[in-house]
Amino acid sequence: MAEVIAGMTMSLDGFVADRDGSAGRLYPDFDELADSDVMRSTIDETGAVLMGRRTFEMAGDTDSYADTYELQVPIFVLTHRPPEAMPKQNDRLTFTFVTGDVASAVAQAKAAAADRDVTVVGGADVILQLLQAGLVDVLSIDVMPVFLGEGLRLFDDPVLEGIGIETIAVDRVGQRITTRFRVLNDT
Amino acid sequence: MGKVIADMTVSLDGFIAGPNDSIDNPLGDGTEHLHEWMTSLETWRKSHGLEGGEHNQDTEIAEEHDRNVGAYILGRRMFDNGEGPWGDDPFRGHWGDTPPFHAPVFVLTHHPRESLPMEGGTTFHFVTDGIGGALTRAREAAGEQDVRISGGATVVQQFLNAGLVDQLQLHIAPLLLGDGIRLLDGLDASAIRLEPDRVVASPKVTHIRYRVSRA
Repeated sequence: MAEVIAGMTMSLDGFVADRDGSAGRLYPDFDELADSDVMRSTIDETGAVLMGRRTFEMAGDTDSYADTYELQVPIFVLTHRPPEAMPKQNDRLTFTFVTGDVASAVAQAKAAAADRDVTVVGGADVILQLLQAGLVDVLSIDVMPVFLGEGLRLFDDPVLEGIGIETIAVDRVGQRITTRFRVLNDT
Repeated sequence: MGKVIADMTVSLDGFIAGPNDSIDNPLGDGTEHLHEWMTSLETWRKSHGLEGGEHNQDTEIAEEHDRNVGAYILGRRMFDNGEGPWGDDPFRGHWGDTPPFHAPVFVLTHHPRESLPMEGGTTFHFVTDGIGGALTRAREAAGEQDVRISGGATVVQQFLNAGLVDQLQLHIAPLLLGDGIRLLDGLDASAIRLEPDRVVASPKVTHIRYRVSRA
């Protein structure tokens, strides 16, 4: 059964983007990461990707997903207004713009992922909504050894109180500390 | 000269205490399990006069916690969750007659107060000239040993932003508190360089230690 894995990289002080909305300072190891076991297993295990509209736009040229995105799988984008033109797709990477609620987006992504996982790559607001709705099975947080001081925090909402998590694994890829937690949605 | 160490337990969402902290509720709401990784250990229980407890991979981390520490610095809020003048019969700290420091403790405050010797080697000294003054006195007291910044959050932030911390260790408990007192807030992103030098994980907590220097 597919699991929903929500993952982002944050600074040690908890930000996923700086005050200009950029996550660049959290990925000084982009090339190293692309060639890591962590990325290889994410690629192997991901059957569909779910992302928010702003995360989708962060690619700049959204046609580039089909050519260069690591996760060549069906991509589901949560948005209130789908783009007028469908971005470039290929045999493996397709786009679905979901205008309904997060639960419907997760259900569609799970169906597409079949027995592999749904990887949620952000943004923070999408992950928060999913956590709140009890739809995240695994929380995958990478911590980079930088302070951003200000910007957008991943965990910045009182609704998070009392959501139970259990440590699954902690590892290190260069400067990056990778942590995975199981979310206890039944308690 | 020893190192200056900041060492704190935080929730995954970055809080060292929940909302509504007070003298009777020093860690705020929802924090019953925050320090469980330490308070469930035999070594911690023994040092607090309690029996039983576990011995596991967190034991070594807990034991090194106070090893080679010659002086502690803490903020007024850690001492009594209060602010303002001390009053006629001032609180003697959250730790009973025999606090677990067994060393001089420099408490940052705006309000002068006589030093307060306790049992077991702890003396609380009240410092009114800021973090620089506290560090000078703590270093003198510690000699070759380390100085540990034990919180609260604003004290740790001030020391980090002033470039005075050599080592930062976070004990990240797998908890989401949602609200409360955030440890790493208002930091000067351009002034501080971090280098992870050790990661130890157990089911109850992840210990991440960083070397800290000026960028």
